[in-house]
Amino acid sequence: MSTQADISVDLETDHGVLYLDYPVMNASGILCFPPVLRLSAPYLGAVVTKSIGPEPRTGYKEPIVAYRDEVLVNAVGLPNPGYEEFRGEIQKFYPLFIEGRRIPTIISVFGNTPEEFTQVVKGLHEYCDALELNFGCPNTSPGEKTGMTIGQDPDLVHEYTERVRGITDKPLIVKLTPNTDLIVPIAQATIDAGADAISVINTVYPGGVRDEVGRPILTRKQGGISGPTVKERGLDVVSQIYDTVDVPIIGMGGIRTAQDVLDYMLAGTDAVAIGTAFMGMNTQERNDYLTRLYQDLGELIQERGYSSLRGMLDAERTRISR
Amino acid sequence: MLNEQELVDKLFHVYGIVRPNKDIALITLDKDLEAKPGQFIMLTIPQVGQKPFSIAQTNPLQIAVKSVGPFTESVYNLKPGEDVLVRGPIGNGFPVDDFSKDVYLLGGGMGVASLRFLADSLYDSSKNVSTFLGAGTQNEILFRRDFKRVGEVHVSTDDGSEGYHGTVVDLLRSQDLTPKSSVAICGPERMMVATIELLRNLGFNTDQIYLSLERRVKCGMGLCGNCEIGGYLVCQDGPVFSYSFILENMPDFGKYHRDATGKRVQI
Repeated sequence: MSTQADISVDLETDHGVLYLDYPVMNASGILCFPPVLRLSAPYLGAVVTKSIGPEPRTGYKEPIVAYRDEVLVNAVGLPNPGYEEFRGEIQKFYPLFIEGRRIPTIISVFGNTPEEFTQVVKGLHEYCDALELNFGCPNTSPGEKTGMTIGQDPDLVHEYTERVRGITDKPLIVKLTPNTDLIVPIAQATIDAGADAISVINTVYPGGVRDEVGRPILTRKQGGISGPTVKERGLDVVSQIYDTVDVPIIGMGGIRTAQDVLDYMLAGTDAVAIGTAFMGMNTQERNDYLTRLYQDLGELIQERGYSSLRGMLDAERTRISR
Repeated sequence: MLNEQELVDKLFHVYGIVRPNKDIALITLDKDLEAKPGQFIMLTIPQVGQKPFSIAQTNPLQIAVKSVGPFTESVYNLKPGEDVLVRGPIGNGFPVDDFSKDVYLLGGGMGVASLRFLADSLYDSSKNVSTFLGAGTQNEILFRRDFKRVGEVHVSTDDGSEGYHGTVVDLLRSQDLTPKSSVAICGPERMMVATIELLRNLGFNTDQIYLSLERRVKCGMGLCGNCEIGGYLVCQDGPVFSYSFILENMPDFGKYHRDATGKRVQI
């Protein structure tokens, strides 16, 4: 696959560099079983697994997704086979080489307590190039202190990050929720505690797609919103963090076109992730879509007079008065 | 590819229900759904649950259900006039245009629902269609008349109450089959494995054996990945795959599927 401009990126962190041939990865929760990731990995800068917790978990009863008028809501509920079972699969997957290219693997983890996080991280960290701590999932059950419940509280974010930092040298990416007005102190707290990068945004909560007679479709009634309607929210969160915290940012939320990717890049991200845009695509369509996305992005970069993404960002980001 | 309307859950009502026996119901809804044979829908009973169902007929939409758990029991117990939500059609369907002149339809269990739609679509074609249906007992044989409209029908029952006494694979073994035919198979995966072994021994072309696979479909939108087999998504790449494709890409066929947690478990 070739694009006219160089669109590779380095996600440089204190704990290493994730070198991405392409600036796009899949969002956690999307396509995130190893065999599925393998088929699209040649078209992604890095692959992200589903969020793995300490125990097997079925998630919510279907319907777990509903779509209407450009809005997707989901309440999937963190289904996963538990880290011990997952280790069997990821061991055979990692490290991922396809046609001589090494594709970075990021494992997403969640837990209810710092102990659960460290238990999962200890069990899995040797099988990835970076870890993503899930402080963003809004679809938790009452009483659970996980996902967004952590990500809305700077003290908890600091505590959980610090505990995980203490047991692994792998780059730590922290995925945050936009459902807070404290995004800057929360981002600062996780960096102070040793995180290497920030991933924003998780879904916007709450939303509930309804049927023609007004009933919520999801079994859980409310879920997180994704799709084109959350893009401006995502860009705002990225800008807030970029303006105040010196840290690599992975941006996501409503990205579908090359222009969307560019908008996120100019707002301050070094890489992006895609989820909802894969809706309704089969494997071939998904891979063709990504190929086209990179071609379009290369053209946009060239139109601006640059031969590389890095060159464009270095020049344009400093030029903008923020 | 993205078709907005196919992603939205639409309100339908139950029009009629036929219950051929104490476990199985044929549920006819009050509207049509444009679809291709082999595609499926996600059927939701509001605030009860949602599962994928093969499309048995499109005008009006009809599905078949066997009560095997709490949700399928709720579907079995639907009453005329009640609301359901329908999302779809989903998936690729059978490549009818690629079929040979002779076509075998092989069905077991509720899989016969999508074969019935396939049979209907072959009614005006010049194909020679033969159908083989396997069931536990006589009153589990569905759509007998619909299949008879397009060709000969052979039946097997586990208890010998109708047709051949034994499995549908035993029934096939007793027939004089034409290996140049196309074959469409729907049913339990173990039955598929046994059937394929027989067909390959008889010299059937693996490109012309089409299987409709079942996996645990959670989102039905190509997002969650839970229905993967060999990395391909049953909900978007399938549910219909040629056996040659399965052979090359899906080592889990006949062996593993993923449960609700995403764990690979033996079939």
